[in-house]
Amino acid sequence: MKKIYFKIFSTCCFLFFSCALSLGEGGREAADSLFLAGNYYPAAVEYERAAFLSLNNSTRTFALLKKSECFLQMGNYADAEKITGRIIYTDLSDTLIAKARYQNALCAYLSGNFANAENHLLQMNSFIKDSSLTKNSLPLYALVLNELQRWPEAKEKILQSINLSEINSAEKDSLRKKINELYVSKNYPHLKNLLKAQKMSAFLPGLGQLYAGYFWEGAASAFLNTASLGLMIYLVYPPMQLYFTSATVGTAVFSKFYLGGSNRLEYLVGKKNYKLLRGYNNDLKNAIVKIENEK
Amino acid sequence: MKLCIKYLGFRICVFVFCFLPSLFCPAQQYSVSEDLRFAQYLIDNNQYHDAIYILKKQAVQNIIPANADSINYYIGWSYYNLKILDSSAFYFSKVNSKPFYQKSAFYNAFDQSYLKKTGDAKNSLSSIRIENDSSLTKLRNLQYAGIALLERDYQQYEDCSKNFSYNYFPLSSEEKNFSDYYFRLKKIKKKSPLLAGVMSAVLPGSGKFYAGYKGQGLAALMTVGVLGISAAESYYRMGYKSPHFITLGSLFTIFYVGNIWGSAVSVKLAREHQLHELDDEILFDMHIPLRRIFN
Repeated sequence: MKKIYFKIFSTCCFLFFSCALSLGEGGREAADSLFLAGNYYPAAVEYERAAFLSLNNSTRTFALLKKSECFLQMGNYADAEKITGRIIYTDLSDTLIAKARYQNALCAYLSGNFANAENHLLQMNSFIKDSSLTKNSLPLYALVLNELQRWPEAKEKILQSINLSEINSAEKDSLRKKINELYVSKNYPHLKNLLKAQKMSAFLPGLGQLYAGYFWEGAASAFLNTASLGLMIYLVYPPMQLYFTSATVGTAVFSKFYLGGSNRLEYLVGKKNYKLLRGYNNDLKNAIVKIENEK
Repeated sequence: MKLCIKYLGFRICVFVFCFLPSLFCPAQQYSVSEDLRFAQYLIDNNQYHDAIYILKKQAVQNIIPANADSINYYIGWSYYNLKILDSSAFYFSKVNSKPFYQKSAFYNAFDQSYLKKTGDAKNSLSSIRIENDSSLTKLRNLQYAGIALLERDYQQYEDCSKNFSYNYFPLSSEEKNFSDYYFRLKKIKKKSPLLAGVMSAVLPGSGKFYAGYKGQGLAALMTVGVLGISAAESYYRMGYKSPHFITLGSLFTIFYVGNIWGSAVSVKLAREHQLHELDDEILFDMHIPLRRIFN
């Protein structure tokens, strides 16, 4: 009889504590249902509650990952990155570390913080030795490296991803071929050098704009500088002989156009480089996503 | 069979005992104390929007006055930290009992002062129930003095400053600062816009110099001077009918008249700027003792 009592008592204890623990998880259930219903903000708050009530770092990390997912769904990438930044990487399993690092890198990538994204991917690939946990991060790694203008390394990562994928060798070869065609050094965007453009404009106003790819802006700058210089000379020669006006007003107008053109170059070169980078990286991104879907 | 019936009651008890906690899980109804604890955690972690969301949800369900006070205080505090002071004042004003009553009432008055509703701030201060608490009496006196300075009611300030002890640590430095602000406010001269305009008419830029903008005065003198001399030069060389004189003369007139107008306006702006800076300092010194006493 004593045995029966003991069995009943131990079963009770087990059930009681497991149910009590499930109270802490309860917040996550509510959050999950809100998330599935598309109510991302309330879900995010409930995941925060789940993190607050969590009894260990693993459940807290899960809750924070889900919260960051809510912010990603809302398109608030910067806040999603801040949330994943709160994850503490001690006492976590390798699987969870990989998941957390990946989410952190994804949020950083989407919010345009590419250096931080690379930092997380680098740590993930350095500290986790099991490649089955890290292989899914390789395409993201390639995208991040593309943004950092390190195309040869990006190519290496995407080839590594193809090698580790579970597709047949013929398909692998076909994908490798596509990648090799995409990452050809002659296709890399040739970015404009600001210093060079400024030197060119200092030598001949408008030449820097021409180099940056803005013909009409260059022509306008050249015309305005020539006109203001002409005005200065015109004021000095007879019958005008307005020496003071030429030296002050003429110089002021000329210097405004001369220096203004040089200052505008900074914006124009930045704009051109951004366009070149975006054009090339967007093509690469589309190709990588397509390859991932084919795998 | 007998054994089963014999222990049926006991088994039912065991079942209820075991699954009692899980009965609460699916409903996800958190008690007020749980939500308040969670809200406090959110506030401690600067997640004020989330705290407001949780507390407002609870406020809709909760009708017990004691809980309502806590909820209103936390909502007010969250809004205060988000610098949404009108909402903060609204929720603080709804707190009627301890432990948050006095803090809420003082912060409500401060919010009103910051929003330039000094009349409402004084009403809030006068209605605070202070039971034999000398530190709160002194604090209220300091707040009154600050409001008097904001209203430029020097008589009222002098009456309040008679009660300054200058040796009560949480308030002493602010009391001294208030004396300084009082003298600085009285020293701010009412400069004449007319005089500034006349000065600029006589010597371009001198009106701005008088208003306190020395750099702007010098720049105006240079611009108007250069244009004036250039206009005079073209008049001397080419006569008053020449297009050069008409152009430069028109430019000179525009800059000359613009400078006179600008000088007259800048006197008013300079005074407003000085007063605004002092108001910021007064509000800052009204705020610091609140943090010292209530935190």
